[in-house]
Amino acid sequence: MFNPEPNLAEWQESARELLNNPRLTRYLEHLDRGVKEYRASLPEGERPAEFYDHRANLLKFAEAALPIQDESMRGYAGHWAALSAHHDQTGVYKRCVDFFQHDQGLLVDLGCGTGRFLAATNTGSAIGVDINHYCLQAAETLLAGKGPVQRYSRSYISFDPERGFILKPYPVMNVKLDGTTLLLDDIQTLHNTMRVLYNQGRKADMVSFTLSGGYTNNSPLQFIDAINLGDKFREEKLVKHGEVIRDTVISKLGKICKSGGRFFFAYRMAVSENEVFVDGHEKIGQEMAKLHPNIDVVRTSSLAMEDENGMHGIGLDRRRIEKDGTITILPDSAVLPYRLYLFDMRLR
Amino acid sequence: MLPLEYTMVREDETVFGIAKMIERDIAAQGIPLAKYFEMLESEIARNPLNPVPYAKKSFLLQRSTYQAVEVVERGLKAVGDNHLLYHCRGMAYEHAGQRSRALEDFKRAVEIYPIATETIVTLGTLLTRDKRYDEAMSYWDRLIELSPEIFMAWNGKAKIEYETGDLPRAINHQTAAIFCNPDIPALHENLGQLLFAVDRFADGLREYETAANLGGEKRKIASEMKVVTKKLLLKKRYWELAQIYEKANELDPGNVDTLMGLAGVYGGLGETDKEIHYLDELYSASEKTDIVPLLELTATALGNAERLREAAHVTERLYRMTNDKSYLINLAQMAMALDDRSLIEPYMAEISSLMSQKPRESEFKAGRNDPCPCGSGQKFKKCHGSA
Repeated sequence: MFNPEPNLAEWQESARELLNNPRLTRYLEHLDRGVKEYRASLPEGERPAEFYDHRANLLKFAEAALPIQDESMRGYAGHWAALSAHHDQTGVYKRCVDFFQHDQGLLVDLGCGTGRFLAATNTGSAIGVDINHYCLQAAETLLAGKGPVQRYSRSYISFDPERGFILKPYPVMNVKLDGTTLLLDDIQTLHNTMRVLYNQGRKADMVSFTLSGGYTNNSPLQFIDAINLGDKFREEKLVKHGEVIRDTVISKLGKICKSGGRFFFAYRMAVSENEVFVDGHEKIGQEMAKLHPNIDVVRTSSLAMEDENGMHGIGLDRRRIEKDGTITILPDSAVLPYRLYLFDMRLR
Repeated sequence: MLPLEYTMVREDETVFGIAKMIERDIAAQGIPLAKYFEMLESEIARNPLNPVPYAKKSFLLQRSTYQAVEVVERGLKAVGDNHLLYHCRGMAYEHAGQRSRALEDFKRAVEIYPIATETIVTLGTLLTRDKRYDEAMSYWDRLIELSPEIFMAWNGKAKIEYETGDLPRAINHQTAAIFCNPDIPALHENLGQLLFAVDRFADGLREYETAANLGGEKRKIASEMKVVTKKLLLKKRYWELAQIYEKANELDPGNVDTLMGLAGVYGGLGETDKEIHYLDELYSASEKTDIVPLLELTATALGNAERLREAAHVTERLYRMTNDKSYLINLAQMAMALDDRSLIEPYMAEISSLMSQKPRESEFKAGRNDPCPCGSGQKFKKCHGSA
């Protein structure tokens, strides 16, 4: 379904280069100090005989994990292409667009996936942002009939002490924002999006972030978990990936969207009160406004959604947040009825 | 493609971090500098492979180039190539005015450590100053590659583009610098300057106003804004001039240049009320300065233009400023010509006293602007009065 992409070779080369970089080696040694101290504290007979070489282990792991990662991203893009096509056929994107009633101007669609939301809009110019190069490839094909499309989707492996190993987009800056621009970017930093916008001395008039939410096992950052050294991010990612991404996007909105600009947010979730599933979009909207002082929630709505589990889409666990903040996944987890919550917001 | 994130830099790997560490060491422990140098030397003796104490010492000695260079060279010999040490030696050379050696060291530091943001900023700045724009631009681009959130990179690009006349790009990139850090007044001033350069005066004024609201130095901002006025005056764009002068007067009230500009511009626009208002302000501002000759010229110009009433106002002000009776005589003449006694009403007592004095021939003194009694047709001050 997808044409070969050059990224895997780039990842392998950059991972090797990175793991042979003496600066990283020194950094890993610094991080490994705890392990070494622990080993040294063991009685002599109990100390592991082999030398602990974090760098060599990572190198081996990266070699093995990167092709799997590429395959995982291809798989995710395939699943999402099918699922989003289904949602398109059942009118989900059209209903989103009808609700948002977007204006003319520059739209940045975060997590654009295979481009279905962009295809349903007509804003003049748009930037679709995703970390998955196969998704961007599919979006390019889908949007080709709509007008000029340009795609920038090369990435490599880099290292950030806070987040561990990350997929990093090749920096792109000189882009003419005619038609649709598909841009590989990390939603946690949005650096490539900023480069492209700032080079033009502008920010977006509208930002959309649609059909996110839920917990997916097809996270394109999956392999990074495996070799991730940033504990903080790993914990957050495993426990509440969707929420982290949502909050990151909202907190970064001001970097890419002009003041007074519109933010269209469509989030998949199930909400229950006393074991009964309810449609609490207004209440959630109020809570979001309280939580994020940089946005005003103007209108809210929700759509009933079909179960996606049979189509390898999202499966919502039944969870309980404990008093100490931990989350317990309840044993009677089953397919839950979820809705697509729609929020029309303004950036302050 | 940069292999590591700039966020990986630790405090003891940057010169800014070194400066902070020194400040902490010295301020917290209240150590005299000589004692601190001793401590650094004993640190070096304990661990000669650690570049940090060498860097700290040469940082403190950067104005004594020879000593700073000596410390760095000792460090390089012991530690090997190290970006911090090259940066410190570059700083010492730069202080000594040895730009090419400084640039060489800064470049070496970036080669060793491609994520050294502050060295990249230094290189970009120095190369821009030397008008080596292509090289400078490559460093600003590298900084943007590291992170598009560093305002200095966009600001640096905009400066070069301004210098090379690429104003549309300069405006975009200066705007980007503001996106990164909207609270720095100088960035808004720069954007104001660029917008003025492309005749977007309303937008430019907004930026200057923002700069002032953010705590920028108002007098400096007002004076920067007025740089463009000559160009506008040549083009007779009085309306834009008026807006600029109004804003300058708001930021730096009572500035004589601004008030003269305002009076002149409103004169050009035919808005007499405003012109007189600003002339009045100019006179009251001028009381604080020695501009009697200027006011005399103004009064003469107004008189020659048959704007006697305004000339009378100026003359009255001159009298009040100098107490020179000749101005009072001129004022009385103007009041007679205008048939308006109210102009001299407040000074009737002085005028009566002048009239009652029978001047002795030898004491006769014409007003400075009166026709010379010799009958030459010139003003007294230009003729016999000049002696």
